[in-house]
Amino acid sequence: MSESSCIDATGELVPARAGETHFDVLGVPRTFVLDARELEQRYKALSRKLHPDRFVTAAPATRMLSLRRATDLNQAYKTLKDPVRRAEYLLGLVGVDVGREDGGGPKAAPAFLMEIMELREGLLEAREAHDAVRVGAMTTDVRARAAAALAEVAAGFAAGDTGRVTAAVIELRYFRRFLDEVEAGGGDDDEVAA
Amino acid sequence: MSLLQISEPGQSPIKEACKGRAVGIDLGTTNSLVAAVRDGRPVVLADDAGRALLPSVVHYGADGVMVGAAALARAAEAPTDTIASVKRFMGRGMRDAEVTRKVTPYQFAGGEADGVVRFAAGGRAVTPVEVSAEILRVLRERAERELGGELEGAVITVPAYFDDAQRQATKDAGRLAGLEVLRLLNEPTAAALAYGLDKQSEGMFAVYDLGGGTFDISILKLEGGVFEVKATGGDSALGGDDFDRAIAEVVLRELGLAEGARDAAGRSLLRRVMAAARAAKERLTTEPATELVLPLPSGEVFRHLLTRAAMEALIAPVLERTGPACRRALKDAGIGPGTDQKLDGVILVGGSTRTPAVRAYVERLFGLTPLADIDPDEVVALGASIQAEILAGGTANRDVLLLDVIPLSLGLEMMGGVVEKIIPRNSTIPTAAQQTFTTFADKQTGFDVHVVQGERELADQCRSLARFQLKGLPPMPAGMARMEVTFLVDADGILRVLAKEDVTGQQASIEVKPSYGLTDEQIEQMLLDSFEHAEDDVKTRLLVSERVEAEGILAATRAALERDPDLLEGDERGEIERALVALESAKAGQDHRAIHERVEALDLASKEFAARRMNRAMERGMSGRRLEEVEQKL
Amino acid sequence: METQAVDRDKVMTEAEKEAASKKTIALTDSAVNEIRKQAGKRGTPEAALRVGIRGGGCTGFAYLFEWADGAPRLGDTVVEKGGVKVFVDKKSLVYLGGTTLDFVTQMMGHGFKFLNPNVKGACGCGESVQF
Repeated sequence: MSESSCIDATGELVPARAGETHFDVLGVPRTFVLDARELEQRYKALSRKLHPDRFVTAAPATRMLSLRRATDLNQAYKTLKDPVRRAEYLLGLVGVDVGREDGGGPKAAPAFLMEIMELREGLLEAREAHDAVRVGAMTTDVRARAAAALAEVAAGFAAGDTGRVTAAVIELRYFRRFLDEVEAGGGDDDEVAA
Repeated sequence: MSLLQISEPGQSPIKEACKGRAVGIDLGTTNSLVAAVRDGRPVVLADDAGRALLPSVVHYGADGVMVGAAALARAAEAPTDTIASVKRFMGRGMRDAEVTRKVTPYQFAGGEADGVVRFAAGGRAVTPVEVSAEILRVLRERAERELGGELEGAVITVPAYFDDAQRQATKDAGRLAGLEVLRLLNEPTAAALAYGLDKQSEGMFAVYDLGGGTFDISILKLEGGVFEVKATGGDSALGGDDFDRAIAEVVLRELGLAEGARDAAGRSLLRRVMAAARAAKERLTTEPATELVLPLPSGEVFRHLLTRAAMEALIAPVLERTGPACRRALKDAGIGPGTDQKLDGVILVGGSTRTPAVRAYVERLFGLTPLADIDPDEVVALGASIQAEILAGGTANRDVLLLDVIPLSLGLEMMGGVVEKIIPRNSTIPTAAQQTFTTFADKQTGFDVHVVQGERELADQCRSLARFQLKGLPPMPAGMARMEVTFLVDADGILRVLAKEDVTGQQASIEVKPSYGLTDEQIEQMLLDSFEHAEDDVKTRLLVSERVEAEGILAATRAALERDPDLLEGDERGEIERALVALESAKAGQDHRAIHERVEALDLASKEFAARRMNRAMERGMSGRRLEEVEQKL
Repeated sequence: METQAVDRDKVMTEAEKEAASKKTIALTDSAVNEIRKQAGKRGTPEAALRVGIRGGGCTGFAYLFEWADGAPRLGDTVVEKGGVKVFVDKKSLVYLGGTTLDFVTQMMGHGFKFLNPNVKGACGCGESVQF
């Protein structure tokens, strides 16, 4: 496994170089298949070396560099530890911007959009009818479909098929949004409304 | 003198390399403590009377400022001049709920347009930052006495749920008290540090921290010396004081004081009702029932029997307000049904967790018997001292690292008042995020940037942190100008916002100062005022040293005039003697600079005479004397 | 007590008078070049440098030496040389007036220093000054 771009061979902090990726920051290969546990260990080991807590008594320039690099590390880990964000990021590196919301990005198939709309209408109806069983069933169904889409993302990357990955990631985004909605509306924990 | 390096704004080191000690300070709502690592172990530092807890109370009297127990003793007789629970006001503006709350004995100084809270106490107007700085100053002095020297720096704890404004205010108070604030540390994280190192634990832990005025819940993962905060939540205006208030309400109602009549009843009475309620609550920790006794101004004595069960019924609604935040934190940390993650332990922090009803509630909520074997009053300060020692480069616990998070989402107000979240809550710090916005209207010449913090959808339901403008854009069609906004959150959880307009390169950068906070200028002014005295000391020292130098030169010059009168030329003697007289008179005065100038004048007047004496000495030196002797002669 | 207060005022006025006579600080060319270089590196070529004296440190005073991203504050003296701006607040100028800010390279590394005729001594850490 390669070394992090944040430190040199002697363990000194190094500023970001042009074109540096999150993979470089964590010192892992640029691939979709990453072991979550290994990634976490790596993140923590690097945090020990980069965190501003380690440089409180250092010269101001070093403190500033540590702050920047620890920030880079946290952003890199946040992006790569989540498979969906990781997939989106990888797509972004090859010029596919899934996150664009101004209409310029890739779009979901119309049939799929129709299906999602029906799912959300169904959720709304079930909620209004206080039909917890139906909400539960829909949730289980969407979770399964999200898992399948994630498997498709991995398969797409393995086959080197960017189009396949893109389509699966877009579907995943819709599933996640649906599941977020279930959580937000169904929870008893909305204490901020108090 | 070592060389200076340019620091980021507000980061100039106060005493970076001065060998001192680093301490941890728990600046609490009710009590404050200072702790330090001594011989590898964290210990709390006590005052001369052996007391570790310093009541967080400041009294502003005619005879000066009092802090702690002495101030607390004045609270009943001078309620408006005695500020307690100042933490509730940190980073808050006059219009905030905590300030306008009904049962508040304070008087506020009005008239300032900035909206900053100012207490009218002891004939002056003081901000919460200044009040807190008085408490910190006492703790600093205590630590310096105990540790025998200047402090290298301090870690000050804050409730995890403190927003940016509250953190800024706390840091400002530290600066004002002359402390180098090494880090602001979340209280539950500090507690976990104390427990984790003590017990060598690993796994997922919940820290339930119920103090006098704040409630925090944090979920941490402890593994291999890394303390990673997974989620945090709470309420910065909920605590044991609310238990007291719930009990006090009953007393006030029984006394026949409806809410409207309470002002007339007097602040002093309100204080005493609160104190009696607190005392009763504390007795009920160990006793099944107690009598609440309150002497009234009329001379009568009010008595009320309170059972533990009755008290528990009174405080239950307050306690239950902690539940939703706990459930949400567990969910945020990915613990619970449908996940493979479970909780390994619950740690209790804060004096209010001594109440048996609180322990029972926590046990029910988490399904685990909570840990409470470190004194809940001391655990936060102890943990902070460990972090201080680590930050200052101490050798103990070198492998420990804290990875903390921001408690509340940071965002910007968009058209229509909705909030766009830029950095979501529970993001590990330090962190940064960038977002690009475009103009909404044709020929729009500026952007109004409104930075908010909170979880609500609408900006006016979130805490307003700062507003600023990016101006001077050339008129362009809507959507053409692009503004790039960068949020940077440092390891203290403090935010900095940069805004840049893409087309013209216009830039605006601000250290986000809370809308109701003190400005840098105000803090700077307070700092300057506080070093006014130091200035006097320095003048005295300077005067003394200039006088000493003058003495020496006067004596040496007179001796030379006597020894080598033949070397004087023309009116040289007259000139030198006039300079001597001038220096003599300046020496008797108070102005060190005048003395310095006249020393220089004498130096000038006697320069050539001195050179001739030097030559003579050199000639004599040639005739076989040792160099040292020659120098002595000079 | 009364006379002391008057004396103190007299001393302050004298000190301020002197600062007024030397009401600026000087910058060496190497200091100007280095500030410009570091400001560029920081990505804020427009930033000014704020210098000052404040309470703290082993000897009671410490240098304030940091970037200033905004406009000067009320009462600041602005020193400009070679496109580089340095802000000094009014009170600090009493102490720093007449000094020269230099950038030097020494055995111990490089950095800035005030060539300060007023300084009497410094503690070992160099962050604190004594007058």
